[in-house]
Amino acid sequence: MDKWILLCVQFFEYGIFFYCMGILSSYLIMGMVSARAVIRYRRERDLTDFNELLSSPLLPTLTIIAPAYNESMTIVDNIRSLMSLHYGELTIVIVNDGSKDDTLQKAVAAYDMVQDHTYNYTPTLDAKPVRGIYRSRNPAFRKLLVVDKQNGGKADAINVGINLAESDYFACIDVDCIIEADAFLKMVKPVLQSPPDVRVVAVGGIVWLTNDSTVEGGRLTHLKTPDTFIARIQVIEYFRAFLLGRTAWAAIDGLLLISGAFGIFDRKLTVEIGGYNHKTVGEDMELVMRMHKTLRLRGEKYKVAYIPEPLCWTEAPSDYAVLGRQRHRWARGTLECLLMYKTMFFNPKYGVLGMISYPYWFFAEWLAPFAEAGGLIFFGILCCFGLVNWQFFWAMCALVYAFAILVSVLSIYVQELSYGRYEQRRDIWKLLLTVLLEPFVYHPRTVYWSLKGNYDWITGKNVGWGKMTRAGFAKK
Amino acid sequence: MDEIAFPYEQGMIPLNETVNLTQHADEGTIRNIVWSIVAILFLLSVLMIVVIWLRRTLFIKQNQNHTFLKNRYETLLAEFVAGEYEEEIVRERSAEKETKLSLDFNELTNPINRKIFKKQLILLRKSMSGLEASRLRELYLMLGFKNEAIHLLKNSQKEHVLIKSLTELTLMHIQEAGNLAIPFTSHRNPMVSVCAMRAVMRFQPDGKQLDFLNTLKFELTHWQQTHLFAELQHQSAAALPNFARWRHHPQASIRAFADKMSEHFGSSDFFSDESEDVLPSQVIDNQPNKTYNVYGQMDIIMRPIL
Repeated sequence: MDKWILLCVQFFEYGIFFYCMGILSSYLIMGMVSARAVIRYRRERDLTDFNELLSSPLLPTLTIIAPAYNESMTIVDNIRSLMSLHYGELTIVIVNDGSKDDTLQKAVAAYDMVQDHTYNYTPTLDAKPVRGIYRSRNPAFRKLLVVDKQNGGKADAINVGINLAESDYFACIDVDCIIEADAFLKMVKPVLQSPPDVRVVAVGGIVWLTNDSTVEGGRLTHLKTPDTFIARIQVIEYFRAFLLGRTAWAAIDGLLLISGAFGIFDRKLTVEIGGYNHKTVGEDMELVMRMHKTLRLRGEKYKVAYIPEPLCWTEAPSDYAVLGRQRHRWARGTLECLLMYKTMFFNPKYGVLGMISYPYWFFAEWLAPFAEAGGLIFFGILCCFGLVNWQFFWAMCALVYAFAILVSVLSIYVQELSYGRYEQRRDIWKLLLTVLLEPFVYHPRTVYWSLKGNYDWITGKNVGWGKMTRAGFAKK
Repeated sequence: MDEIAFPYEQGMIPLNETVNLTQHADEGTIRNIVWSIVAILFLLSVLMIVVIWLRRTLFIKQNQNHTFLKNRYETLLAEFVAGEYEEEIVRERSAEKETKLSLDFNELTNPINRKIFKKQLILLRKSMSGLEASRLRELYLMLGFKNEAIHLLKNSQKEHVLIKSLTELTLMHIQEAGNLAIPFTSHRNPMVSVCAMRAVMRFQPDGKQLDFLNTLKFELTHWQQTHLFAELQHQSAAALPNFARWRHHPQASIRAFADKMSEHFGSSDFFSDESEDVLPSQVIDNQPNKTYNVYGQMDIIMRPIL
């Protein structure tokens, strides 16, 4: 019996040790890969004149699809901001997803819009019925289209937008995001630069947070570190995810996720594969995984590209309840996507995706909260039986803490080296202080939210998107 | 070998297992290794923080200095363009020694100042035309920037240096760049190749601007096509090449580009069989060539039967 206990103890000790070291080392490797990719990108960007693309008839046409649900407070400003984006052939489709407030009325009134009864809407993708399509009488707003439909969620609203789009690519964005004026010119660069036999099916970009920053006329004018601890922590999380993580995955052609808040996609392929999936809350990840799977099985040459530059700015949830719902949804979305594409797991047919990306998502993203919770329970049991080697315990705690700090500092370092968007020195000090507290104050909560998301999924409890309250840019 | 009772937890419950002394000693070693790793990791973090701090401090100072110099040179150049410095005087002085060119230009021996000055000169040149542009070009030549750029183009392997040199020489209308750029048209970096293509197009004789397409080693990307199109737009209709020359090119992307350009610029003889300069040694089969157009859609382009 004792032998079995010892074996069990050793399994947990070494298992969890190597698991943690594996994950933390992968973060460091990703940090180094992405630092190289970001510096290279920035150097090329500085030498590129994007304005030359503006007048080119060879630029792919683009439709921006922005679902809006109860955005009455900000819809007019948000549309104005989208209308000022620099791009050649651009159409903007605002999809009012059955808002309960006067989002539609405000947009219609502000842009002198009338219902277009002549428009022949023939849906190719399955979506909730459209109640009306509105166009402006003012020729200055000819590229704007507002669609009113029954409420069906974000995926459904985007599918309606895709049904209306006629362009080569469509961009999926959150209507309350701030997009850099030349963002889409930068986003199409990989499309234009790819060899003719390689199809660029999706391009993602960095989304960063603007809580407490100054926004004027729909443009970010002064970036500042958020005042609240919860928002500051998310800034670091976004650095790690977008700057270190996704940049590195894109560098090795293993990107599985393009944020639903900002990305462009090949419209024709999206229609071919059935558009956004209504049945998952991780619809952005699911679409990219489906694209990968379809094209891999077809044996076509393709690329999912990524622009390692902050081109889209959004506001982070500033209270724990809203943040908890968001993380709960992300956890469920991850689980759903991993289950839907389980055949990719260590499947050499999918190359880097099957052998590295998918296993990483499984072990480092999905399994991590379980391993952490399991580790805590195991530690509790050891304590009860007085089996804890305290000297070793403190050494291991210090190791994990040091690694966590290093990865976060590395993300701030890469941000500084590449874009250095924070003008004030104190902004960086605030972020560094937040890094020290994150493992104690914030991380346990994320573990809890992830576990709850998984538990709710298993028990069939549908939490949905929930109400996402934001302070809004317009106030500043 | 000595065997002792397993001290799994010193002073705690022994598990009645036995291990050898070496194993016991290993635990201490492992712990030391772990603490060493912890120290290294913290040290690395501290090092990065120090670099951030130093960079910030230096960056602010450097930025202030650069802004001061930028403004200063901008004014200086604006005065020069406006004719406040007599061209003859500048030329006379430059003939003696660069440092004596003018008191205002003395500091250009410093590499950083020189770099900022050149940047401002190029920026200004971009927004100027006519007499002002030619005055700036003269100044560029006088200060030896041309020789520096050509030297870098011939000797540097760094892609960003090549891009800068090619762009600069093209903008300053240095004819030599036309021939120097030819080898770079097939460069693996799309940015370098585009800059080289533009330089070649700008300085090759009329009708021969796109001759490099005949020897191109790769398919033309849409990025390159977009920039070639932008360059062609700046040329007079009479100077445009006969796009029909590439209608039988072995590379599908070049044929497609020629087709688009012919359509856009209204070349009437594109579909004529009498088109001249058809590439002599083409190995063209009659198989459909699968490619993607800029819209991400698959095109089936039938190669013509010869």
